[in-house]
Amino acid sequence: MRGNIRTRCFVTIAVLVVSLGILDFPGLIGSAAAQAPRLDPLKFTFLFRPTGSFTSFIVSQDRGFFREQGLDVTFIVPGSPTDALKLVASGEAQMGLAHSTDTILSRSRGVPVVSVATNHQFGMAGVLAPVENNIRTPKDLEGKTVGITGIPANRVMFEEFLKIQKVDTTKVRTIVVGFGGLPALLEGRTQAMGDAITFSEPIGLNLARGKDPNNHSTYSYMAFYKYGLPRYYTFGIITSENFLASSPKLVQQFLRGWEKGLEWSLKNPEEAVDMFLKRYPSVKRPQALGAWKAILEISTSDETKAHGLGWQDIKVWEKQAQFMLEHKLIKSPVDVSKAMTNEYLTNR
Amino acid sequence: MFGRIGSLAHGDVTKLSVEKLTRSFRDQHGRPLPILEGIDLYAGENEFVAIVGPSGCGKSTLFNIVAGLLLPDSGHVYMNGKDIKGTPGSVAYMMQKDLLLDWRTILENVTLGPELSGEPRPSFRNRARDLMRRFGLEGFESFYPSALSGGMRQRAALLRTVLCDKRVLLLDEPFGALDALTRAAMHVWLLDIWQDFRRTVLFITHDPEEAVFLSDRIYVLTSRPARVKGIVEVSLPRPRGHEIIGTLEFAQLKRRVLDLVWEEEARSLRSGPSECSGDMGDD
Amino acid sequence: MALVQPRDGSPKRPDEGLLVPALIFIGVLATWEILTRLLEIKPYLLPSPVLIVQTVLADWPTLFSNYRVTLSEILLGFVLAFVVAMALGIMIAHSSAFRRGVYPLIIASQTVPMIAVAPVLIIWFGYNIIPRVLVTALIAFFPLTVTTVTGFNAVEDDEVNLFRSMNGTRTQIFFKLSLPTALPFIFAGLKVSATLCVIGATVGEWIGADRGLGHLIVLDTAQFDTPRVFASILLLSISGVALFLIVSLFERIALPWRHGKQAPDYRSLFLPWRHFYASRTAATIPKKEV
Repeated sequence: MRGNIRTRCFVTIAVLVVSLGILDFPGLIGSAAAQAPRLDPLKFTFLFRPTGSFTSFIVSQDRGFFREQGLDVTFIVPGSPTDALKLVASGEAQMGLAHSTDTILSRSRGVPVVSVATNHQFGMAGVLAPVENNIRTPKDLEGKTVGITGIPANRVMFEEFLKIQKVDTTKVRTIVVGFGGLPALLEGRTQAMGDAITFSEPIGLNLARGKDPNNHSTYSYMAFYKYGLPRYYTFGIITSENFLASSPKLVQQFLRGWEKGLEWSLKNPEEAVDMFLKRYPSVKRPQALGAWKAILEISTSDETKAHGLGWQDIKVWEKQAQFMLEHKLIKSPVDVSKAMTNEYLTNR
Repeated sequence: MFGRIGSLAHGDVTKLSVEKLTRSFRDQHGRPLPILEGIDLYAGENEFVAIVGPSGCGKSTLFNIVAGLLLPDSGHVYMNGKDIKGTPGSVAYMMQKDLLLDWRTILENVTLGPELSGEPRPSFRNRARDLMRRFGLEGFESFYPSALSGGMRQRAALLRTVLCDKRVLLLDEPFGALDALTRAAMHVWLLDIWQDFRRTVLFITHDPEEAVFLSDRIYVLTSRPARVKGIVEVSLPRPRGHEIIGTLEFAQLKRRVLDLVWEEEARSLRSGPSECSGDMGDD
Repeated sequence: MALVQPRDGSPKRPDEGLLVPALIFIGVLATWEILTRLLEIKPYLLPSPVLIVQTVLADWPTLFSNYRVTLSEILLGFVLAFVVAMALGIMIAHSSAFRRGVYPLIIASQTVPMIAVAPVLIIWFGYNIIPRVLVTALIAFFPLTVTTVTGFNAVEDDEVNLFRSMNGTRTQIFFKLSLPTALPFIFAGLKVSATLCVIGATVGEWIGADRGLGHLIVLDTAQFDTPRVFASILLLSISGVALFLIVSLFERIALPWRHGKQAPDYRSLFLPWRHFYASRTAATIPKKEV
């Protein structure tokens, strides 16, 4: 009994030493990055966990496009998209990503954020089904079970989609599956996903079935905006009204750096994704690459060719706000001219 | 100030005296509950004084007041002529429960008094070790109280009280929890110790035989509210051994004490139960 | 009077051995493995134990680098929880006004879902380790506070009177009576807190982090890499158990009276020959010392 005390004391000390040894002390203190005195620091928040869709921003920082503009950008990974909006509104992050729906929603609640560019030119939601389920047109959904996430805005879009396409809704069984849409589809409990996201679920579907992530022939996909719903932007770059007022030049510099980074990433997708993965090694390459390639397809449009990357058509915003008001997603109208601006983009 | 009754066999100087001590508590309904009423008692230098009475909280309350833990409603407590009302630390107090602290070794437990009063550690440790043998605790210095039998625990508590190095000791039913055989052995042992250490001792007991065997004077108290019912002077010769229990004088003294006690029991049975719960509200 | 010999130091407990528990443990794992194969459960739903272990070995660099991050949050959160719980526990036990005012708030703090306060924490404390450590401590401090209060309230009035009768000061009563009385309770709470720190750090990362096992779990859930999710969970579980054991070890050292009849002799740590001598003769002869 007595002898054990000694052994136990040594064991305790040993364990303490070992555990201290593997603590991530550098991580605790934070990387004191050597900063050229002229660089302005800027905190940019993502929407949620890093995915390949954020590649352009990483490239802009790690390939020096931001530095050229005199900025040193650090990235925040928030807990949820609404957290990201709050961080930008409060000034904890100077700029960030936000879904246009959330931007409109928060402005209707008095949150002073402004969209200064759009990352995606087209909506990312639509109906996804494996090709063998033979769902190629909206009418094919009759007699099938469709899984949706239950997010209100998405639900509204799916129902509007059915209505516009004159699908008999009594014949379509809709169940809320939350974020278990893919497993439900794979298990056969549903035949289609009602609000799949372009750069995520199709890739996941392919990977789960052992196929090439960007193989489009294994599934059928109906993007809402192609089937009558108003076109809407999705992920856009936002900042707060305060920051816009206090540091308009920094916003311009950010957007200029980002445009260059986006351009480069569009031309060199594989290398761009590799840079992303260097920062976030826990993301898997097939997923990241698949996501980025899906984003490629919606990053450019006729408008961007005419007006430059990131350009936003105010009419698209107006239609989206109107749609949201009609479907009671917002309670009061939103003055879209205050919610977005192209003023800070380089080529307008 | 006070009258001496009978002749004192041990010493002329009064060490401790209690005058007209009165104390009430409040019961659970808020009504005043008198516990002590005008208690008068005294103990001379190095005398052994017993306090006997029916079960109840009066006697422990008396001790609490003498020890300075409680203030009386009226009355005085004098030691060496000085009023020690409300000043703890004037006497050494051994309570009914041994209150040995589980996390301290026996040595650490018995030296609690000098430790608290700031005496240097080597000094009191040595004093304690010397005495542990006398108290039958030799070899248990580094053991915890859980290793001790009931009798040993009482002896440890008593040693703790003795090591406080005070001239007056209050012992509240020190042998109450022990069986008769152990108790008998403890009586002889206690007198033996007391012969060497010569302190003034007040002790509470239920056992009239114990009272007669050990003490020089016995106060018999009434039931609640407690008053001094009677005083029995014990002038048996010292040192006393077990053989004294069979003597006529012993039996007569014991008879006198028993008579007082039984008379009081009968009287209290007639007047109704005296509730005395442990949880008394203070004023 | 006859002296009773000192009894042997160690309490006798039946030795259960490791065989039976190990068999039970392996049995559960084997059942899991067999069921996975029998029912053809897809790995992205519930991976088998073998697959989880393979993943741990294959992805060790990623898992370990993220683990270090989470471990620092766990340990810092534990220290913070301890400090806060001690302070609160002592104040609540010693002041009924404080107790009545603060206890309801403390209990309420346990019902707040972290996602609700996430952005506030990041705005106030920045996007760094501080909010995560705060969340960890918030989740872990409560049981320790409760047991600390119970511990200090376990001091008996008679014991206080004992000290008072010896003219003990309030400081002496606190350090020599209240604290040792409360210590077993404090350790009970510490064991629970240590385990809660693990889930606390994970939740802390969910409010916003780009590294750590909690963050990795979110990422891997979205990437359908359920085997690696379970690998992360396995690492976290091991941490929880290890922390629990370490606290238990400290408990045995700090509360020797609960594990034996005789006080341990720490001098034997430094004087090996005396330790050898003492251990040979402890049971029969009391030591002849200074």
